[in-house]
Amino acid sequence: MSQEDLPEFGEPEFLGWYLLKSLKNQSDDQISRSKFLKLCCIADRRLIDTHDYGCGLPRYWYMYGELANEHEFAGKFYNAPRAIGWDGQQYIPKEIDPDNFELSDEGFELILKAVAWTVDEFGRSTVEEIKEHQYQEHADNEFIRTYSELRWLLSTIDLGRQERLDNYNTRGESNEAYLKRQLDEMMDAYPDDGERYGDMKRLYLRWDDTVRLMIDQGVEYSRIAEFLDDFIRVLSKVVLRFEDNQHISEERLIEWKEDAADAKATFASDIRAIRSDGLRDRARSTELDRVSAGYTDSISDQIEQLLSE
Amino acid sequence: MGEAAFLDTGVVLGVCFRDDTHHRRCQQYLDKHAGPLLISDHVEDEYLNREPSLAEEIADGVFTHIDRLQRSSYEGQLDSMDTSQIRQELISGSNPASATLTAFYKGSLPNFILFTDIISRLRDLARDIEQTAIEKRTALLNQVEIWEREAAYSDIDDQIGAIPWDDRRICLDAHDVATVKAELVELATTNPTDLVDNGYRELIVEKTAIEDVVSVAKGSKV
Repeated sequence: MSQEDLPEFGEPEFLGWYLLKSLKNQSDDQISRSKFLKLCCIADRRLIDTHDYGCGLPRYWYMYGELANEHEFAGKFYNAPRAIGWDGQQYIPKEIDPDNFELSDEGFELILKAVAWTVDEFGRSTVEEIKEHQYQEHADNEFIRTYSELRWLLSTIDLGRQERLDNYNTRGESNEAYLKRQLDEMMDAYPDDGERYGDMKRLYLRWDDTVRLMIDQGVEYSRIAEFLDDFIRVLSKVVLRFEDNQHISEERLIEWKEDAADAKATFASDIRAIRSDGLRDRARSTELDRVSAGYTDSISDQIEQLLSE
Repeated sequence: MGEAAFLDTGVVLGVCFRDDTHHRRCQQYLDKHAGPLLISDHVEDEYLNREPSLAEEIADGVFTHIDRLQRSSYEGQLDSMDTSQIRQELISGSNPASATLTAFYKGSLPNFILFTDIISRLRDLARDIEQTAIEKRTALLNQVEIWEREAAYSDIDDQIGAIPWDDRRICLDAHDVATVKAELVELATTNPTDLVDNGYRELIVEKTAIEDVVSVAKGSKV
């Protein structure tokens, strides 16, 4: 691409481009997409929090951390060929004259500082370490921190071998009791306010009980970790990226809204299938038999309502 | 008893969801019936495959109550005063499981119980509710043939027009089975008011190919 063909790059693109350049200067290691998009956010937060300057970087919370939305960049200031050694892309900055970026003098100077700090602090960190920093420092609420802690914990063990969890505290409790206590903490922290969290509550409580059922049935931790990821992915699509974002275009928000409805419906049906499998293998208790009359009243109301629809 | 039995919506729902005399009568009817059992495709679509299922809604009500309990100040060992207070204060009237939860606190708890045991038993209750519904639904679907009617039978529809549409539609479905399969068909219903009483049974038997209409509702002879 000749310099004349370049799109109108602004400050967000400069932040991203200069970040890639600086990371490459620091080390010749491949830069993953995830690392790049997360470090953009950390640099942008540094710019705002320390230098009180906003460059307009589009970013949003997704699962266990914050990501820049690369689709909102004015154009590609990087190449992203297939990575060597892992399944994904590596990000390489294009050769661009800095004069091709539309920048204020102040913006130029502060972005250089924020990026330099970011690369010093996190350039050699793994994506997992960067995620941990993000959810500990920048999560919107305690619920996000709690589920991220649980995921972090699950990622630190040999999931395939079902080895003992590396409990953060030593109460001498079983893995099962520990996992359930983490789930209790999540339940305590689930935000009560906000329409979006309210809309997800039913699915969340259903997911929560299904995880507990899986724990009771000795399902492998790797499967529980996947199921946690599945829930957090849907929560991100339905709630988090709407609740915690900046500089996202109206067009993108509309796309997200459509995606959210699909993701929620698909997940509801996935939970039903997973739960049905678990319930099929379960020995029934006597609790329903003890409340048979009350249950019949409940179900009769439901049936009447259904028949009158 | 006819060769084939066509089950109306109430029988299907009774077998799958209820847990009472009504359910037992419907189940007893199915167990005693020697011939094939059939249900309409629209009953399967609208009720059996309904999302979310009725049982799920009630289980969700139990989960909502667990959530309220977890956020309450109750902990440790509870006595009957505590559980009575929980019943009065923490079961919302709009909760679809309110009658079930009230029965849980009124009838099935000891005088002293650990808070964690209550939560654990409530989870068992929610799981029992869903598990039972899944098992009953699966068992029913293994027993029945789903019937899809193609003909409209407008003339018969007119002749039995006094019967409400939902019930009439089932009559036409059952009539279709009798016609297409050339079998004797009995229509089983939990709604005698609209299909048996007031001369409706005679009307149906006269105007359609249905052999008989039997009520399996409470108070009827099966």
